[in-house]
Amino acid sequence: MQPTATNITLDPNLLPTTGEGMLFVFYAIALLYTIFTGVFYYHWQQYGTNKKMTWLTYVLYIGTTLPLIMIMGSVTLAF
Amino acid sequence: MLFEKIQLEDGEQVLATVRKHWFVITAELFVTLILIPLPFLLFLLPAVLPEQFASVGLFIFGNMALYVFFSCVWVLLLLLTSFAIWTHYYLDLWVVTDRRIILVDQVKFFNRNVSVFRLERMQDIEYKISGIIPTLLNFGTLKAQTAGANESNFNSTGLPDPRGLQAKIQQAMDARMRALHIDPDDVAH
Repeated sequence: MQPTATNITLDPNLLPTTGEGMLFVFYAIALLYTIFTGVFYYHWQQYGTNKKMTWLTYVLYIGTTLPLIMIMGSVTLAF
Repeated sequence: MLFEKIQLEDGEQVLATVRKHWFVITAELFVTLILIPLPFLLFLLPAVLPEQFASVGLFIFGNMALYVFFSCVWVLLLLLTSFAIWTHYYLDLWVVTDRRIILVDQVKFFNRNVSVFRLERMQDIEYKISGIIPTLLNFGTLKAQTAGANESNFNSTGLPDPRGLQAKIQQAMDARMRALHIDPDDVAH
C-alpha cells in the first residue's frame, strides 16, 4: 500500500501571539522564582550560622531579584 | 540557626568555625557574574560596530519590550545561580570544638552531609597545598584519618590556612587526650 500524504494547515488564530508567549514565560519564571525563594529561605533559616549574614543575604536577594520580576511583569502586561 | 541544632555537649567549646577560602567562592561566582552584562553589551554592539551589526540593532530596537523582558530573564537566572553558589559556599562549614570536629558539607540544596569526628579517635592529619594560587593565597586540602572498627577518612579542599588549622586540631587532640588521661605519645606510636 502506498502511504497517503496529508496536508496539515495551521490556523494562525490558534497560534499564540507574542504577548501570550511572554505571559506564559513570565508565569513559568514566576513559578520557578517562588519555588527557589522557598528553598533558599528554608536553607538559610535552618542552617545559617550568623543572623546578620542571613539578613544581609535576604536583603541582597530580594533587592536584586524582585525588581527584575516586577520589570518582567510590567513589560508583559504592557505588551 | 545551625548552632542551636548541633547541640554541643556540656562544657564543649567551639574553637573555630572554618569556611572555604574566599578565592573558591570568587572563582565560582566569577563565571556567572561575568555573564550578567551580556544583554547590555549586545545592546551596545550596534553602536560600536554599526556596519556589521546593523541587523542586530534593528531587531533590538524593533522589539525593545521583548529585549528588555528576556534580558531580565537572563539576569534573573544568573542571579539565582549566584545565590545558589553563595548558599552552598556559606553553609559548607567546619566546626572544631575541644571534643570533636563537625563537618557540614552542603553539596546541593537537597544534598547535605553532616559528619562528626571525635578528637580522641583521630589519627594522621595531613594538609596539602598544591599549585601557584593556593600557595600564594595559602589555602589547600586537609585530610584526616580516624581510628575505629570502621576506619573512615575525611578530606576537605579549599580550606584557608590548612597548616594553622592542622596545628589547632593537633593541639585540641592533645588536650583532649590529656583530659581523658591518655598519653598523646602512646597513641602516636
